[in-house]
Amino acid sequence: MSRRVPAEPDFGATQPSPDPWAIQPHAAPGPVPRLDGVTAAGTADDSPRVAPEGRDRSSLPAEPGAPVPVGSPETAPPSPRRDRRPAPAAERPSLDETALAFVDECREHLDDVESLLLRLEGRGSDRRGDLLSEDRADDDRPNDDRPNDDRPDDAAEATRRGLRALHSVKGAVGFLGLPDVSAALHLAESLMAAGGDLPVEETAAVLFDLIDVVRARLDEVVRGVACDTGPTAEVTARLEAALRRAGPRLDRPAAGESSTEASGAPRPGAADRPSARSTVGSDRTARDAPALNVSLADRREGIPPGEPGPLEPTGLSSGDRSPPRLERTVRVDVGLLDRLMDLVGELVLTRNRLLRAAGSSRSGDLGRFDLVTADLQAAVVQTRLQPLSVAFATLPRLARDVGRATGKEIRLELVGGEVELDRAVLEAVRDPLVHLVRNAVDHGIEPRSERVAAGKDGVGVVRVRATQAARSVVVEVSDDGRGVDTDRVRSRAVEAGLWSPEFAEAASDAEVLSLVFVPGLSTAPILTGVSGRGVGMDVVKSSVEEIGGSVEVRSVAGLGTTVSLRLPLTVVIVSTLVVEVGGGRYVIPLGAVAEMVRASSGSPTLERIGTQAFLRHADELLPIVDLGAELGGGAVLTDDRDGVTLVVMSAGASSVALAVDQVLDAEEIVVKPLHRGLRTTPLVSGATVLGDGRVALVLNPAAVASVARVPPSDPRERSRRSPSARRGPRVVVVEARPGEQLALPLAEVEWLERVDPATLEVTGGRVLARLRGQAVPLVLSGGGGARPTDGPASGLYDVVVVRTPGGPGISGVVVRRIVDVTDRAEVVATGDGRPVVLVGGRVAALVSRDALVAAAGDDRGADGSERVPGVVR
Amino acid sequence: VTTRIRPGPELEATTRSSGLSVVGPAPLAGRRGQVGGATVGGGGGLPEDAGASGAPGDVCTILVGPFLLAIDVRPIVEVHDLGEVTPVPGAAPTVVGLVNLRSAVVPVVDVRAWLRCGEGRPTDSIVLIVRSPGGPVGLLGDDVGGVVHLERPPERLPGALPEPLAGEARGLFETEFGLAVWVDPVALFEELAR
Repeated sequence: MSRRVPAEPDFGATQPSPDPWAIQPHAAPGPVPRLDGVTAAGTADDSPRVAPEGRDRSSLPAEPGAPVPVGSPETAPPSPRRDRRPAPAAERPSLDETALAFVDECREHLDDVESLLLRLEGRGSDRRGDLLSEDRADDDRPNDDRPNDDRPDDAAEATRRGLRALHSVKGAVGFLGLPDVSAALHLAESLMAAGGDLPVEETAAVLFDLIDVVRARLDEVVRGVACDTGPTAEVTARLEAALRRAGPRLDRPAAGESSTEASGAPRPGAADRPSARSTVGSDRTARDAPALNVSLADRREGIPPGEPGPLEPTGLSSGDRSPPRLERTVRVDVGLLDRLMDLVGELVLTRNRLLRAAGSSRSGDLGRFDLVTADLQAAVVQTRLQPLSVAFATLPRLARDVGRATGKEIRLELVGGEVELDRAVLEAVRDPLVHLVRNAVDHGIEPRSERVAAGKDGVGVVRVRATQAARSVVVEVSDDGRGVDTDRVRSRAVEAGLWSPEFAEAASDAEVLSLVFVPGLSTAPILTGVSGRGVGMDVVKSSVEEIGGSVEVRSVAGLGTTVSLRLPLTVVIVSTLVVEVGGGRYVIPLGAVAEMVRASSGSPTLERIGTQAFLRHADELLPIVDLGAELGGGAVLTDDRDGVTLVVMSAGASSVALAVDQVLDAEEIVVKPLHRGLRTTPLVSGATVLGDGRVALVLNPAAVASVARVPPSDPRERSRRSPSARRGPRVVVVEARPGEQLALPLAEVEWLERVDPATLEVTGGRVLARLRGQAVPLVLSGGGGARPTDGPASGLYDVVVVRTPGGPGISGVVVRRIVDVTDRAEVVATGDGRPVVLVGGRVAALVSRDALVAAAGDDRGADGSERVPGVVR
Repeated sequence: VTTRIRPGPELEATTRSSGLSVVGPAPLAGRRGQVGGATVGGGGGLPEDAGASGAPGDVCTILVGPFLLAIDVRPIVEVHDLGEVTPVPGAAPTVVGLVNLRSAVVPVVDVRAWLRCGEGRPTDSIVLIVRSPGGPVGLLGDDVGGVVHLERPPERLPGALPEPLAGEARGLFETEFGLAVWVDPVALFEELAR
């Protein structure tokens, strides 16, 4: 299934609703200022790139031949990037599908050329790694002329691939009726092929500018606005000048295409191809192949005959030797994917309602419907996943440009581009990433002289690293720069009147660092001198929190700064906890819920300092947020109550306990946006329709946690509740077999569940439980006699749900008993090197998720049903 | 729950029971049914001189307390029962809450509260679902009248209307049911942000 999505306008006119009177929940009437699909296609065009402030296209020298300094760090090439914002939908004329497909393709090729130029410059050395993973993730991209099976390590290979991409762009812009651009690209090919005599930086600088110009022209074509040919003429003149310097023999293109293409005339038949969307790429590649192979034949020395060279992509060879294969992918409109997801969400909710109504008397059909719905949901979620490398794509160029503008040498390392996220999350994180990398280069990394004086390598390292945790993805942007000088931030906070001197004195470093998110303060000049990280950090924070994520900053003065973004895997269907407060129902994203605690009134676990109530929990004092009072209803924490139900919630570094009337249920929901004009309390981030059709409000964990940010009145008190002061790792302790305890890191656990054996089903030798809308295969834990029937008298199975090792799905491991979830475990090394933890005086072996599943799997028979007594079917 | 009522005996019965009748080119209005349609809602009924005169063409009348309000029919999507409402903490007092409209979450503005006429909600109230720039909005009233085709520009205001109607009223129309005050729903949408 393709994750490629077209750069196509997505507005009402193209997607008529089946019911003209149906309300479109996500679409405002009238022209929707929707970004074009390029964003989803992974090209760079909508990201606000770094550019010298205030520069736009109009500031570019318009006369051909105007002197433009290139190459030196001080004179970073001016670029028309700022104005590459996609056009509002309303401006888009009826550009036909074929032309749009050409534009898409051009943009993809331009991205490739850009990343290859970065390689040539030796600055984007890690981009390729992500390109690779991106290629792997969608190796079925229509433009198959990119090799995906090799890692070109030499400049010649990069040049060849760049040439091919430029050549493709040239053909496409010819079709789009941009002969001057086509001519410029022709020169660019010549220049790139020439290489040799010119410094690579000089070549790259002019080619980067050309790329920007071509992108701008493509945007103009899409918007249907008048062409501004000035920049094209200017860059053409520079290309010509560069070519002259490179030598007379090189003024012809290397790929040896026909002059028709070079002059920009449309290829015959190109326009009337009926299904050009999915075929243009391979079609053209096949056409270009012979010329390319000829021109490159002399470079294939050393490759054994019959073996494809590193250059030769699959698309090329198949075009020559075998009949055209069927495309394995189709491009799908992003709007359609969104609609599909919405519909599946509704289907899931309807299914939940049906199951609830049916109770335990599920007929076979209903059970099948249930499973099919779960599979459908999983499949649709899959179609929306895109690798993070899509969001990484713009970063190498960004780092290069900012590095040049500030005169710093930067090495950008991108790790984890293969991690996949829902496209909505990806969209939301794209701008924050740009912001963070820009900040890291601009303000985090010191000038070379300062670095050398501090004994550091002259080249600054900015690392963007993505890792997948249990139900979230963590993206860290770190630098090895100067770090944040917390003392200066403290004094600045006092100067700004934000903190009292005493408070600033007492504040922990974490609290000081949280100030970088305060908009007014952090942009102050003094902070810019220190780190400047406040520029837009509030925007980063709000963008990430809007999708249910959180942001955390760590910094060590002199050593660098790390900003971690914790992102949900998907924002469309969210597992939540439904709570009742003041008669209303609210949902809390389950990812933020750590525990639920019932405290009786007068219990020593409830304490008060002034008016603020605290829960003493796991050796920590957690501030209690009375949701009833905060949401305008009656207070939950009253003296005449028997006890109070508290939901312990962690948002970022801080944990709070929410006092609620009662916890109702866990439920999967589809988050619906609130009306844009509706004013609500900041605690509410959206709404949803629950299984019974009632609307419930979605709470924003970060906003709720911020309510409880009570200033520590006494430094000693602060140290008592300082985060993670005495915490060990959070572990789930289970009893795998009688008397034997295992501890599993909580981060590796998806969730814990108690399952009624009567609800299990056996299909194809697998035992499946329907948990939270998914059909989860169960694995029995414990070799030998650890039958779940030995478990609790309640007759329910305790199930630890984890990601299936090496697989995309999740599995449930049935254990004898879930003993505890705790962070009071102490890790102890043992003689045999296998770690154990001490929990409440007892020893539990610390195991990984894989080890737990493997240990359980050992005991699984061929027919899983035998292992689960009580399964009737 | 939406019940769509097609024009027919049922519609006639409802309109009769509410003491209102439908005038104009298309009898497509009615309680708890869709208002508008291909002929009306699409703006087809707009008179030639509508732009010049300021008359909206087709309006839908809605009874709120003692007032009969007229709202341009084009942005109106449908008429609904109020159903179950979820209050929104922090919202203006005129915002009743959120309702589920076929899985879309729609905020509802209480027009009675806006007009400061009458405490509490009428037991049998209707919600007029209207498109707005930020998404659909429900307007809570007592009853919906019908779609009226206007041929003449509105009459001038007498100047004796109570606030906030005086500030928002754009004219008066004589209809079969009496004088209707023409209001732009934008003023009601603004209640959401208040």
